[in-house]
Amino acid sequence: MMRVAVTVSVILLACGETGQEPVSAAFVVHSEGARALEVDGWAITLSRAELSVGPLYLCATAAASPDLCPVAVGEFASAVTTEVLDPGERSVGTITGVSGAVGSAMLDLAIAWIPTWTTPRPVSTSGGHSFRVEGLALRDDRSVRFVADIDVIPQFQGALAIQGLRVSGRLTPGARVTLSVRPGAWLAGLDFADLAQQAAGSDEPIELMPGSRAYNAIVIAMSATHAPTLQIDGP
Amino acid sequence: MLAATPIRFNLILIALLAASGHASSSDPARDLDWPTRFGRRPVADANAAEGRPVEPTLDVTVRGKRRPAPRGVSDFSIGPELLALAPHADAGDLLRTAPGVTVSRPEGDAVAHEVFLRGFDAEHGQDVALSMDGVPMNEVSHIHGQGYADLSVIIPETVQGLRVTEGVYDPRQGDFAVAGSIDFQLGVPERGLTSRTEYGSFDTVRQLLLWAPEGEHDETFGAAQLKQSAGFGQNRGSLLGGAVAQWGFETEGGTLGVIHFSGVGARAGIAGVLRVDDIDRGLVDFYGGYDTPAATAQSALSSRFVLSSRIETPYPSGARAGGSVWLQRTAFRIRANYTGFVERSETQPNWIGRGDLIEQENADLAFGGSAFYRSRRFAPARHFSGNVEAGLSLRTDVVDQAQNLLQAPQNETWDKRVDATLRTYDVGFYADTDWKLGRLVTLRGGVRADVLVMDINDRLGHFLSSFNLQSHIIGFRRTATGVAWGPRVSLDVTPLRSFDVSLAYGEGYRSPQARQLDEGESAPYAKVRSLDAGIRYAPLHDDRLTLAVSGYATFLSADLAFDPGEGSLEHIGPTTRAGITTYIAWRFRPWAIGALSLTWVHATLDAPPPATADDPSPPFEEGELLPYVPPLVFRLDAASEGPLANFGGGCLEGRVGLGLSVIGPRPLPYGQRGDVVTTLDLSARLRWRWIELGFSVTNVADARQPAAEYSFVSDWGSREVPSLVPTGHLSAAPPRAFTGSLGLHL
Repeated sequence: MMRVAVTVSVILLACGETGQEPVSAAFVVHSEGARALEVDGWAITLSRAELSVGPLYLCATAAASPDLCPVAVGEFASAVTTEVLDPGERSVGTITGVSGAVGSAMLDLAIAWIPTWTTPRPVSTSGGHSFRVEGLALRDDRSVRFVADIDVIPQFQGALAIQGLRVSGRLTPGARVTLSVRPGAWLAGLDFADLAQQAAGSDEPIELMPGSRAYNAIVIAMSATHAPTLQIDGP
Repeated sequence: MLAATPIRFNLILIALLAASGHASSSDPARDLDWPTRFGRRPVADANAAEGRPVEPTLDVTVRGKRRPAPRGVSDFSIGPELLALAPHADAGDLLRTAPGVTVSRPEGDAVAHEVFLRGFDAEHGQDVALSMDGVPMNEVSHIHGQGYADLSVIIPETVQGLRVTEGVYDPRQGDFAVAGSIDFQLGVPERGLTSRTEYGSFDTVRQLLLWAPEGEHDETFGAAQLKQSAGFGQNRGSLLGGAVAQWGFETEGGTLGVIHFSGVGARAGIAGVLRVDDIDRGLVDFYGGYDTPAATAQSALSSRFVLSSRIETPYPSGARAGGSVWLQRTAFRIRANYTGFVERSETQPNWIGRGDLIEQENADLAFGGSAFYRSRRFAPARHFSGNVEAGLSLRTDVVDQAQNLLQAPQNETWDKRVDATLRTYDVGFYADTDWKLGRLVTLRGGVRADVLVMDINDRLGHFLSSFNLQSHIIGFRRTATGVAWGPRVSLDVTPLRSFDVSLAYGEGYRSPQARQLDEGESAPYAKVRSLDAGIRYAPLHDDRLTLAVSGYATFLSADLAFDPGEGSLEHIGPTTRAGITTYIAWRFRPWAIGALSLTWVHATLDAPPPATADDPSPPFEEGELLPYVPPLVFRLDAASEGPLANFGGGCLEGRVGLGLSVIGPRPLPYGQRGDVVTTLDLSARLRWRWIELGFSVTNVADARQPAAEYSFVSDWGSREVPSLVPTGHLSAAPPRAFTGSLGLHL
């Protein structure tokens, strides 16, 4: 009799759930590859291309921002650095959250401006910069080696660098979240002729400095014109 | 110093008593569930005229107060002996004796209790109409929560009964009676002067002074209390002072009346809510708090003053009429930080990360009253009789409220969120009838309607931040009205002696938060439909043993849940609750007195929460459980008392009591389950003539349990990158506490 009562109690207590469930999903970065490019007749060979991503937040709203996404469906609350020189996928971590529909995302590229930080700074688990690139550009008899440490900085305190990134899908157990990047496209706006002129035959690589036209072109490409895209695939 | 003063006071009283040899006068009627008065005078006996020995005769006048007729099986009257079974820290704690009720006080002693009843998370009173001898305790449109009801003005030793009406089956039940209503009935059956000093864990000191003049009504008394505590853990110190005085009177014509005034003021620190993952990681202690001014600056202050009067007049025809008036002034200010450092200023959007210390202020001046006329009993046929009653209630409130964000420790204002004045008017009227249909059947019921008028002066309406083009002057004044009405009926069948079968149905309402209304909007009351079916049985045909079992279902059109970002309640959509309550009470005096209740409830969300820009498609699954509603609530209150020895001209009486609560594992958000929460309280008392010694232990097992659990987003700087996924938070329930008391009864 007692066993029946306990069983009935367990059944009654276990009747139903509160909706949604904790979710872990694979977080993958897919690169189009950028070892060899062509930009305005210049043959670009990259020897280094490292991308730092995170934190990333998946949101139910269609226009993710701190105001419209105070509560996230899923997140990667950290930052990680991965090479994107070769095409293909690389696993970079785990998205944690709850099951539900996702309409958009917002993310930083390693440089965060958390509400309590007075200035933006790199997340400690990142490589320190959003994008680190080194390469050689050749055209005819001209060549220029270049190097850049690009920081995509949030515009104001509490904001994220890339907001309102459209994505449509459901975060479910065993899902897979893929962030696709086109590092080659980020360099497509550079004026290598101008860089070659600045290098003036020096053997030292020319460093793209913050505020320079080339630097800003990469930042705009990474955060706007050729911003990463997101895809969520079910198990 | 404060602890020494009450003790010195009682020592002086002891010395006086020892010198005078004064004895207490205990009222033998104290165990009865209704107040009585005894009168004594010698009468000249006819024998004296005939020279026979004259024996003094005793004229006794017994006056009882009619218990209101029960509305369904889930209508309980809990008397003083059941209230006294287990230790109770305050009046809100007395609610635990009601079947299916759980209470906690996670925000400290200056903030109202959180109440759960029949699957309703009533927060601070949104779904339970609380009253003190008919004077409403719920506040309308309170900024901290609709229906906010702080019971601190009620001194627990002055409560002689609770009338607990679960469900909405009585036309007298008004606003906020969604899960039911509970009326605190004041009275002091034991006459005389009482002084009690308590001292216990966490430097908790309480001094009570209570006087109840002999020969007067039980409703005539005065009481005052002072309570101070350092509080357990961190930042929970408190100070409270309150007093009440009542005068019950009766005229020659039989009119009964009571004049009442009371007041209370309290201030307490608030430790706040903690992230469960921070506790698990050892970053903060379970009973501690975050070490930042944004957390340590949390506190609350509250006050209430009540002036009321009620009368009831019988007529020779058997009819009765009565009425009441009351005036209340309440003030409330809380500074609480639930979310850490996530908020951004709406006034100056470039201000962010200054700490989410929400300051809420609510000041309410309320005036109201009621009147009723109950006809004589008509008996148009044999076994067919009844009466009718008409009644009304009036209430008006002027509420000033504000909400700001403060930057600790200087508490500079860095955002203004609410600045409003509300004027509300509630006119209610009802018709009720009580008819016996034959020998076995009684039909009670009627209809109630309430008209609500609201005038809102929202001084921050049509808000513009500093970044916006200044196109108009900020402010939005608006008015709204609404009507809520519904039937309330119960049918009782008594097929056997002391065996009742009851069916009841009723429709009730909760008034909306005024600031959420738009201009001209028909005030959208939250409507509730409630259904009860059950049996009540007294196998011994008296009050020595009572059994009640009832099944119920409640459908609520618009439920509310706590939003930590705003520190108030937000809409979540329609909900349903279905459950069963079992209640057993026994009174085998003096050795065994007790009550046991077991409530099971299945509470579900019926539709997705309202869509917002944040979440245009809120997730929803059919039959989804409401989080935080405990599916099982078990409560046992029991005591045993009796004489132990006789000496020194008096009898040494002893009493032991216990209160045991078991709360079934709460469903938590995202498919999680909480733990079973078990709390055991014990008390013991010795009384000899006018001296009483008491000892109690609460939370005997010293269990680490949450007083409240939540799931939301916060950032306390405990991780480099803040998480935006909701996670568990809790406020700690008190650990084990010991209290000793010394009482003197003159």
